[in-house]
Amino acid sequence: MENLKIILACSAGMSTSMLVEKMKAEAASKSIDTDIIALSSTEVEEYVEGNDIDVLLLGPQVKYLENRLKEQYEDKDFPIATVDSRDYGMMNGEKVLEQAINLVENK
Amino acid sequence: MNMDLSDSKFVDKLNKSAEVINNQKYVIAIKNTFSALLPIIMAGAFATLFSSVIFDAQNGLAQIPALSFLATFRPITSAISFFTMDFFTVYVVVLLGVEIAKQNKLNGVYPGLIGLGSYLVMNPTFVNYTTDDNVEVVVGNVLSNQFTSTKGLFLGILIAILSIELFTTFSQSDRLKIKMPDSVPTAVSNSFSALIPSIFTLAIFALLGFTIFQLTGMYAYDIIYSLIQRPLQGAIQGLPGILTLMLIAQVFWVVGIHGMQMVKPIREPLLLSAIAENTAAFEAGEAAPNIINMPFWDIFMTFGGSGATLGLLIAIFIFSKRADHRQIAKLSFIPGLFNINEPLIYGLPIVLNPILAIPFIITPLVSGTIGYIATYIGFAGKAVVMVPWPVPAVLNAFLGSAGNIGTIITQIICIIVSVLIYAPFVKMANRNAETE
Repeated sequence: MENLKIILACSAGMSTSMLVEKMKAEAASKSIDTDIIALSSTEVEEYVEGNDIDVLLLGPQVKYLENRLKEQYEDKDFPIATVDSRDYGMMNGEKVLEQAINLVENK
Repeated sequence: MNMDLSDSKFVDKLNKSAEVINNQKYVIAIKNTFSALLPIIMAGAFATLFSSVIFDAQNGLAQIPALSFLATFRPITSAISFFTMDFFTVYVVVLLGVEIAKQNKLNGVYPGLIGLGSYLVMNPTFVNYTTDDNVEVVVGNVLSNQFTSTKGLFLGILIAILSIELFTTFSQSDRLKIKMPDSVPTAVSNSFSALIPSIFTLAIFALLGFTIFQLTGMYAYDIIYSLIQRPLQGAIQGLPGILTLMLIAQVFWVVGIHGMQMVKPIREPLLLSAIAENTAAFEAGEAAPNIINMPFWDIFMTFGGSGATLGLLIAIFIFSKRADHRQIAKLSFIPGLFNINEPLIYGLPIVLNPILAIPFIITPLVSGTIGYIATYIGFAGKAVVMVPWPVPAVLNAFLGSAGNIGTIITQIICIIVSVLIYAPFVKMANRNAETE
């Protein structure tokens, strides 16, 4: 898979940025070519409209955005999902990266 | 204790309401507006701090005779403070106009100007002024600062919403478009497209302002300020009001939803305008009016993150015998100093955890009460400048109160109390793990 572009969003983009670091380390150790970015929920729409992305993951605390974003980006071909809350809490970069890759492969 | 909270109807309802509220157009617009406004508020905060620490002839560096010339520079920082804090509503109306228009698929900053214009045309352009000799004079060609400062905030929000909706409707109406021959370049014809909607929108709000004044003898500002804004501000300035808001936020967190996002549409307008008022008063050398404001929330109720979890972290380090809890606490310690605590909330977890949810809800209510009483009796100074939420405890109390020692001591007391509240529950979690 070529340069997988993953977006993670939470309310301020702060706690997701911690998870992003773990995911980057995980991707590097498995030599998977990725581009992972943390955004605040207010930045997501602007970013998604101006850039091509492969998958959008939401922090569990902003799960309430999932349905609306799915509707809004129905015509786009990237999957949207919420990170499992336990994986999020444990900052489990491995699991979340796996989730992202699975979503892209099974879309 | 084997409650399964995740299946309850209550949790389901909370999840649904979170989705409905947070995807509501005006809620999104108001939240985006106030988060975009933060740098402006911070500019005012920096200017005011700088003013009081350097340029102030009584308390600042300028009190040193050799440096007294510094006092002459004060107008520089005063100007920044005035045109941020006393122009709060102007910025809100423009940004809100832009945000609502964006939701209506009208992009660009132009709608923000229509929002501002619609708001301003409803206000009088003169003030009644009483001179020292008790003569009342009318001063013309001025805009009183009550319309630009936080006092006009609620009318501003209301008019921004109404005017942009109207402007959108007019803009989308084909009958109101000026038709140009095809040979006219698109850019030229586009420049005319906003013409009629703009004139109509401004005319309607000027007419509305005029009619309200003719019918009631009061300006729309007076009506909204006394009927809506002041009562709401009064409610949030009382302890029950702010504790209720915090309780709502915490209950949402316990089911895994970002509680602060839920209360933001109410919290931001009220608490950010409260700190702007305090900053303006502080810069003018007057007593700050509001005990409860945005830094109060951060200093006394969310140290370590939502739920005042700095206390939980410390309690785990001292009392926890569980390897998993200690591991997560270690992972959470540095982010926790910067008031980020998602690893605790979702990792321990606190979410849907019948033991840890109890102190998580109670602690901020108790520490907020302590902070309120300490400020009320004058032991702690009121916060006078805005501090961003990720600033660590103690430092935020120091900066927010402009160096008030009582505020710092009160915050430290709150942190100690939070450890005491969390401790028995951390121990209970130890026992729970042994029996499992």
